[in-house]
Amino acid sequence: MEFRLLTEDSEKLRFVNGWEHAFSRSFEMRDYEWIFDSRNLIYGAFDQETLCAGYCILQSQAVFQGNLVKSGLCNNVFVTPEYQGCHLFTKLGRYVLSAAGEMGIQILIGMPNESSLPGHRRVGWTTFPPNFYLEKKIIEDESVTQLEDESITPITSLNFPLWKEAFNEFAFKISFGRSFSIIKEADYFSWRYLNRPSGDYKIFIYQEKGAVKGYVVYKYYQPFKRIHILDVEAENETVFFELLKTSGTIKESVSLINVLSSTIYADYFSRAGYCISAEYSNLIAHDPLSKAPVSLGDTCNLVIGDNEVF
Amino acid sequence: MLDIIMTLATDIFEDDDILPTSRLEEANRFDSMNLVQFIIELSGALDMDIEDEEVEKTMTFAELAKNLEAKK
Repeated sequence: MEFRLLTEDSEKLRFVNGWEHAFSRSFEMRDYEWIFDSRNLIYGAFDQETLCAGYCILQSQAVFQGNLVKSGLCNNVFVTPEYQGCHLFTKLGRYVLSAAGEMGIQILIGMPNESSLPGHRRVGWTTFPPNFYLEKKIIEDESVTQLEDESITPITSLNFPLWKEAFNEFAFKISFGRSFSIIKEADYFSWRYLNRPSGDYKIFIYQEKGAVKGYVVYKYYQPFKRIHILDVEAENETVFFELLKTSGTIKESVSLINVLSSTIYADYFSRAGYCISAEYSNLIAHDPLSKAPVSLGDTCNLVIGDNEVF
Repeated sequence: MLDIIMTLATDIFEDDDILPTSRLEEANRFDSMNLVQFIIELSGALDMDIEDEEVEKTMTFAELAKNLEAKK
């Protein structure tokens, strides 16, 4: 069995085939170029030429314990059915975590499904209590509002380049000094929210005299008539509440809005009428250098958009 | 020891029909994740470190018990 970083297109296609086989569903090929961006490190376990397990680390920058560090998100981990029980989840996991440490990645996070938690724990990940959502039910006939505040601008891939510099300045400034926060600087933000083919997100920024003061990213999920707040940042409470009003511009029928409770703005959401949901996401973290148990601290900001699946 | 192994295996692999002579991979809900959970819980129940390689899917539960007994 050989473990290696996949670099060739032919290997990545084998990864897609393995992924489809393991999860018994089709890979969205329109997301192929997006997910296999160079920032996502794709590892595979090979038995001769057969890819039998996969494990990805999406590289990013984060503030961790007040310092700017290399970080990563664990994503798309699988073992194909024929190789179940060969300990590939743990063997490939250990290989990838070791490789991440050698690359200088200081903190890894993941939001895995329930069944994989023991496997992640076995290879050294710290597992946290359930990360519950905050949610607010919406009355069906609530009217759609118009954008009135001139400080708020809808963002698309067409106008985002105009904000790139101001956005970068904001992204670093707002995260400064936090115990954990992934930095969504302009390039990362653009890749994550504007370039994703199957994304269709609604994005607004709050600006004053050309300076970015906050932003919010929504995803509307039609089957459940839900709005997910994928990401939000605000310089102060006033900006936060102005940004939150933009959810009212979404024209589709909405029954519920939710956000992960690990947002640093949980208190603001609580004041806005959001309550703890029964739904949650799992959260794991790993320090590949020290391998010691991880604490994400009291000023952690983790949002739905920090996972790549939404 | 075999009793502990069979109780855990029945619970984790959700299979009431497995026997000491069954191979691990024959259990109803056998997969990578459940195998990891089985090893973790077995380590805890027997209060011993168990390496992945000591629990092969082609072993029978009785063979596993014999090997772990010898190790203790």
